[in-house]
Formats: sequence, C-alpha cells, structure tokens
Amino acid sequence: MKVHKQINSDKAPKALGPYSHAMVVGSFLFSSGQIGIDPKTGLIPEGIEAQTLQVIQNLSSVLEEAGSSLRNVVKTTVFLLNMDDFSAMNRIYADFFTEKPARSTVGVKSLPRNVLVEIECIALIP
Amino acid sequence: MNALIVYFSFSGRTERLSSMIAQWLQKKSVSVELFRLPYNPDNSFFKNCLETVQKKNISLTDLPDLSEKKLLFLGCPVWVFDIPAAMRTYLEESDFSGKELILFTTYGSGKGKERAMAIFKEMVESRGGIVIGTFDVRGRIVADEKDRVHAILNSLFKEEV
Repeated sequence: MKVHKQINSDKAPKALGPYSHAMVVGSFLFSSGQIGIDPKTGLIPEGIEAQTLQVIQNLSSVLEEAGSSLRNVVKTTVFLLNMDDFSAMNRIYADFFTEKPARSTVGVKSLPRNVLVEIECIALIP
Repeated sequence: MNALIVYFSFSGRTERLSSMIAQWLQKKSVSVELFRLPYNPDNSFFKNCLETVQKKNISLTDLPDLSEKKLLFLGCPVWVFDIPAAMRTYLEESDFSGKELILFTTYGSGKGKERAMAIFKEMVESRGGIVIGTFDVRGRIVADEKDRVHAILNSLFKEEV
C-alpha cells in the first residue's frame, strides 16, 4: 500500500530534477528545497530580500497545494550562499513564519542557478 | 483648517483607519480630503511585497495638491519591515516643506513596525516635512480601535484644530 503522496504545484517553479515539490506522509508534508525562481517568468529576482520572498511564495504555493500553509510549518532548513545575508533573509522570513517553526540555517559553498538562498520545510496538514 | 489624508491600502484595513481619522477631523469641523494611492488588484500580496523589497517605483497620477493643506496624514500598512512601494514612491515624489504631518501604520504580526515607521518618518523629514505625531494600529482589529484612535488624536491635538 502506498503510504505517501507526491505534491506538485503549478504555481511553484517546475522541479529542476527527478523530485516532487513535496511528499505527504500521513499528516506531514516534507518539501523539497525551493529557490527564488518566479514560476511565471522563470527569472530569479536580484538580492537576498527579493529571493527570500520568492522562495517563501513558492513554498506557500506547494503547501497550499497539499491543503497546508506557512502557519502549519514546524521545521525549516535555510541554506545561504553567504552568511552575511542572514539578517536580511531573517527580516523577510520573520514576517511570514510567524509561528516561529524550528529552524536550521547553514552556509553552503554553492546553490543551484547561483541563487543566494534555498529553503525547505516540514509542515503539518491540518 | 484643511487636512488631507493620503493612504495606501491593500486589504482595506488602512482605508478603514483613514476613514476613522477623517470622521474624527470632521467632528472637529476640519475640512478633510481622502486620497487612496493606487494599487493593482491583480497583484498578489506576495507580488506587492516583492515590489516593496525591490523598492520599485509605482506610477502615480492625479496626486492631490498640497499647497492649501495645512495638515497632512499619511498612512499605510507595514510590509516586510517596510512601507509599501506605492507610499515610498509617493514620498519620493512629494515636497512637504513646512507641512505638519502625522504618520500612521497598520500591521499584522507587528514585526518590523518600528523599522517601517523609522523609514517612513525619515523619508518624510527628508522631504521637508515636520512630523508632529506617529501611531500604529493592529490591522485585524482596526474596527475595534476607534476609542484608542480617537484618544491618540485627542492627545496629539490638545488645542483646537
């Protein structure tokens, strides 16, 4: 018996590889990492604030596709190309993840499409 | 006295607060005009926030004449720790020299409201405005805050307006 369900949203950028936007197992959603690609244009906005916002919008679209929302996120992982961007990323992040989910933030050597930030999440589906 | 309230509203909460202020002024026999800065209803909230963080210029036309206005109120929501792009554009295109202004914001989570108001105030002052008061109201409960808003306005105008 299949115990998981693939989630893909038309409102989030198409996956860049062999993965789903998210998988749902029971009442939990496990998302892939989202980067700041605008799904309508395929473009990536400039700057850490704009990219963080686009990432959160993409995550929000994936969550909504599964019947969840940013308010139901219980854990995030934030990948930053440059830890000097932490404050700017955090300012945007804090405005949307108002329930303060658990979070890990790591600096990485490189990210797909040379973006500045990637975020993945685990959420409850109410 | 002539007063003008210029506001940006997306959800309608700042518009409600602006109307509340206008009603208070009218009760004080102040002639008041309201002007809502334009917004694109097809834009999602996220798109608006993106324009805000990117500090995009918004096309503004038919802006009200400030020359005869003694008192100005400017209001907008707090978005991503900042003021919306339309209000930023309006401030950049305005000259408030010698005008007295009161600034107000509505907010959701409340995160960043101090930063947004600091930006708001600094921009108005950089355009020659004299900020005589600021206040903020939680957007979700604007309708229930009439007494508090009136109390704030009463404290700002101890003398007759």
